[in-house]
Amino acid sequence: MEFFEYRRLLEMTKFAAMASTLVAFVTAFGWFLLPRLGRKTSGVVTTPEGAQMNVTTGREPRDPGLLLTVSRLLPWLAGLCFLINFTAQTARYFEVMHWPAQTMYEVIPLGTTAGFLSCIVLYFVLGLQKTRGVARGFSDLFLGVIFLGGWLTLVSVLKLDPTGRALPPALQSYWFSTHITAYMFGYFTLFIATAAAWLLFCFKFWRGVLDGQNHPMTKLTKWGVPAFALVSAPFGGMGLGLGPGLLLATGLMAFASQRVGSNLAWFDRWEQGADRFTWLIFVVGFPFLTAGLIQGGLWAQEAWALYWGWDSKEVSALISWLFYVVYLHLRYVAGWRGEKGMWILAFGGLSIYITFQLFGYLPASQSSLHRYTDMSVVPAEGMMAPPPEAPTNY
Amino acid sequence: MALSAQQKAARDFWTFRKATLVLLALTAWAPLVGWLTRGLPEAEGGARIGFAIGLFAVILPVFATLAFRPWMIFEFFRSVRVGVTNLLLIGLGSILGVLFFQEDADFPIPKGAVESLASWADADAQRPWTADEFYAYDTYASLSGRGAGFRNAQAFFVYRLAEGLGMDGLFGLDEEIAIDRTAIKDRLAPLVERLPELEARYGKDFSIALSSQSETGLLTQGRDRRIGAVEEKFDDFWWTLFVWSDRLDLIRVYKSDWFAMYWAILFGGVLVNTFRGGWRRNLKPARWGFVVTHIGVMMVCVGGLWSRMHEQRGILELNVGRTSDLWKTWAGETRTFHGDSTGRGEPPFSIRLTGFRADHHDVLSLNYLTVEEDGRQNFEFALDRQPEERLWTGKVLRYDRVLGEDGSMGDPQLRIEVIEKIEQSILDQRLRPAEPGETAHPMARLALIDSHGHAVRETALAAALQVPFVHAESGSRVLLAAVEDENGASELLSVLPEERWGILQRASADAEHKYHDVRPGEIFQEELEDGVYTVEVLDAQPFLRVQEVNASEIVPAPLDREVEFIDPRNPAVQLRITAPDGEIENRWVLAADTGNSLPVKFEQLRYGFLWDEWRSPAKNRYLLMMSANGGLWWGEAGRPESLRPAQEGEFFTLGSDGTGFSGGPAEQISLLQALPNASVSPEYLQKPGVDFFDNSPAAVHLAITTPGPEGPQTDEVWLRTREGRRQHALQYRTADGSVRELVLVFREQSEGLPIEWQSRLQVLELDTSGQSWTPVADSAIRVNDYFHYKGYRFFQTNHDPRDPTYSGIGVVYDPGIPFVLTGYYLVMFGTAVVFLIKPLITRRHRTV
Repeated sequence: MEFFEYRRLLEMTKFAAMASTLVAFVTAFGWFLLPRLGRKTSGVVTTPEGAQMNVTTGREPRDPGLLLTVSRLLPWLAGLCFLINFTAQTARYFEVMHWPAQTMYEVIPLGTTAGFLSCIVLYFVLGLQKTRGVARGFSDLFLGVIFLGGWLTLVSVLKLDPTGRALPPALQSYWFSTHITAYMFGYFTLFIATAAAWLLFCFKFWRGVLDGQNHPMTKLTKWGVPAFALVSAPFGGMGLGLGPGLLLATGLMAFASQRVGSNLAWFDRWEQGADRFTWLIFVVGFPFLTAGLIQGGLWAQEAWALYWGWDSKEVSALISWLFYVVYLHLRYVAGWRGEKGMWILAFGGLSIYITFQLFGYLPASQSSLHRYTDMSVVPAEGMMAPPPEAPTNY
Repeated sequence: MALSAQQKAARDFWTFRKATLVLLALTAWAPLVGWLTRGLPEAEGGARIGFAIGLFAVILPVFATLAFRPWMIFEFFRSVRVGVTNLLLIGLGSILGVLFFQEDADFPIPKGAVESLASWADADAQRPWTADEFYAYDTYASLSGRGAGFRNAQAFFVYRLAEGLGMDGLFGLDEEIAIDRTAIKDRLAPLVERLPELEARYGKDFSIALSSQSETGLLTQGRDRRIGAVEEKFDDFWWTLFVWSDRLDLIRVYKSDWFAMYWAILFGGVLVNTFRGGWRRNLKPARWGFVVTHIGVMMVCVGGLWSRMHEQRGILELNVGRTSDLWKTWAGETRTFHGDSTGRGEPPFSIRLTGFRADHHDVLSLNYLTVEEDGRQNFEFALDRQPEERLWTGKVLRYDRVLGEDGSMGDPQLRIEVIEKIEQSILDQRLRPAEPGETAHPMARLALIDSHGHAVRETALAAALQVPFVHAESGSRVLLAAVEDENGASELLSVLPEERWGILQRASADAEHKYHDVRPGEIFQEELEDGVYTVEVLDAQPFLRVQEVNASEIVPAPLDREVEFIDPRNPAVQLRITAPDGEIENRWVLAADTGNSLPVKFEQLRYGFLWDEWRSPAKNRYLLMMSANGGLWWGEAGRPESLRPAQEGEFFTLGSDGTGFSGGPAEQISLLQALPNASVSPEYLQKPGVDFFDNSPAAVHLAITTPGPEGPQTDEVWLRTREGRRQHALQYRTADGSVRELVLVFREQSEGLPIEWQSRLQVLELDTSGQSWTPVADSAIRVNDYFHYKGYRFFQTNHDPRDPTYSGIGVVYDPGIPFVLTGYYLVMFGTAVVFLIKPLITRRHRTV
């Protein structure tokens, strides 16, 4: 039974995510380079002077069989990560005897579990299994970014204080499991939407840099991409890896793609479908975000007879939700498509990150009732006290 | 329907730029209207006319537009650009709400208090400030220490933001308070060196937690000093920010007029856009999800408005057995549970608290002992860092692996399996003659017999323990004593024990505990490093109940009977401690506070308190005396003439002189069993037929496996959090030859939050004659499970660890709740239909 220890299983998940990241990045590179790997074909050409000479006429299409087989492994790898992570959460349940969602050491891995599950769902919703060629490369890269996110997240989680806590009275509710799990699925799916949008902007940015004349950048991309990388950089290893790190990695890929002669032509097709791609991720995540928000209100009503208390956590969650509601309405009614809408998705992820991880630093959070995951704070638990009386002379 | 030219113009009129400008103008307009509307009824004379004209002037443009350009207003609400801009402004308002410390919604700063403080001149420095001013300043600087204040919260945020960006140097703080990471690393070095060993012995989680908590603790100390300096250094800036935040409602964003206006516009926009085009359009299945979601949003808005208009919140404070038809709103008004708040003329009702209990977590502390160089034993870790485990049936703990030189870890040397855990246990202590070789004691088993002849309470007494059977109703105590013969018994009866209320035990750093007898009025002195402290015993109570906590001092509820007749359920002693510099602390020391967790002023002087059940004041002290050959005698202490032989099965009357508090028939005890050489095989059983409110202690049956001379050996022990064996000491030798000494303590973790608290409420209604109260409903409430009666919601909110019978019950009267809850469900369901259910059914995603 000692094998089924939470920490051990999380470490295994981390390892699986790391291995999956490598596989995904390697296959992505493979798809990008495939057109250059075929044998050169040559033919005899007669010059105007009548001389005959051998010239390279192109490349034989290389059989992508092996690459495709490895590529097809990726959803299975996501399944493996999900399975180990899920087993870890189950083990934690029995270690602490409650739904493992009280401390950040439990909540974040619950999120990565949801993220891996979401990855499998999205694989089919987005039809990634049908893609071939460079499009398949992009799809693998997209999966690789999700694995990379999961891996870096678990690296940071394993450094957190692992003390298991008992549930205070306010958390002993059936909403505890549904509210947080719905949120985690929503959060991590919308993080994936942010990653997808970010990946597109990165390539768009580099294409502008490498071939600005034919593919000029909009101002939003020109300034937004470096700004986004800068904003995400201070957020630890994950911020560095997925922000400036991914920007550099895509730079390398774009440069390689440019050099091998494709001139990033494949990107056109991707860009055409990118709006729908990110939209569909949003469609999967948003109902869960809404359910998490609403269930929070329903729970607060049961605990404190207060369906909405304007607590800073509630308000931060509302702000994130409004971000997506604005995106939705601008898309539906004002016809915002492509870049503009996707930027909202990108910053929506940042808003969620603030709600999820940085909310404890906000001024209004110093009196929040939601500081259960903060190990240094004993939850206030809705204890109510009248205001202090004024001293007669101060 | 063809649009008129006017309509078309109106539709195109609302660009993003115009929408933003108009909404920003309305942001200024709404507080102005609010100010004028509220000021009008209060103003007098000319000012009133001024208010009326002002109000007319600011509302006029709206009416004018409504009269002459109605399409403009309709299109304002219909415009998606206005709607989106408005949503963004709601988001922006909310961002302001989290970026500024918000005042307590239940206890807002009284109107004008901040302005009044801001207008203080130096000349005012000597005048006492009003209660309103004090509260306003307390919200700013948190003088009373109840949570963070505005200044602290803003400084914390700004500092952490700057620190995160590596820009905290801009504050120009003293070098002296710089965070020295090298020094922290050096301080942690010994711990870091021990981590592999700690991981092997206590597990990886424990070692990571210990190092992470230690590092965080040291960093936080340094950081707090710096944040404190940022508060002080920029106090003028923070104060100005506070005053302006008050003026612009930034510390009460969610109650402000401008924020409410955004929600009103949201409601209008959703209403217009959901129903334009007629009902029939909305009946199409394709629109169901959309319609349901938006009706949900509108219901939330309507419910929120209804709540804002009618909501009352407050608290009902009761002790067990007390009834009240009055409760207090947070605004300090006293209200009755009449129909008065509903206006429906319902019959009045009152609430009785028939039960309350706070159930704490039971934990097993593993206290490893180490032997210091001078040979004294000490705990390996500080008491608050000892490994502690919650237990449940089937749980297995594995500790103490031996770390090999190559870093490998051996098998656990200590294995503890929880064979059974009983949450509410009884202890069956039937006596039996000791077996040869077993330790034997004189012991007796007594049962209290009620007026119907039923045995209601059973207890076992051991002569060696000197702990009596307490019968508070008659003010009696019964003690078992060992005597040689009848003469010895008579001699024992002739002396009354010297009265004392308890023992005060001082925890001192040199591990030698010092004891003092406690009697009210007694004075003694304590020598500490910084001088001599004088301690006076002011009061001692067997059952402290807290009436209020005034300026962090406990004011006890007056005793409702003489101390002799009070069951010692929450014994406490009040001390007045005078420090060498003349500073005084009045302190209550509670026997229940075994973890020494209550805050004290003089930290260096910590006491534990033990109530003396035999020698504390009593009306009657009875002695049951037993000789080694089985002779038994009964008598009353101080009255040798009362001596008489006794035997098993006999009944004794308590308080027979009529001094019993109840004044009813004297109660009796029965001597069930008495053995001079008894041994007891206690059996721990689940107490039958109990509910949550029964306070019987938890018991746990453990199988403890340690290495023995001939391989692993397993011992089974029972531990109980109270009234029985609480701890178990053991020693074993590990595979590498180290000797370990360990004390397992099973205890209630009373210093943290309880696992659960519940109140049992009874509703009493006044009958039609208006003469008598009749019980009409019963319900138990807990956090997450409130009780709803005639529009009032009662929910568990407060408890007081110092007063076990007190329960604070939140009271809410809010007719907006059903609307909002319905709206919530509609939004959740509608969104699921639009994005999940419909696409799954039709297998088509709408991307347009």
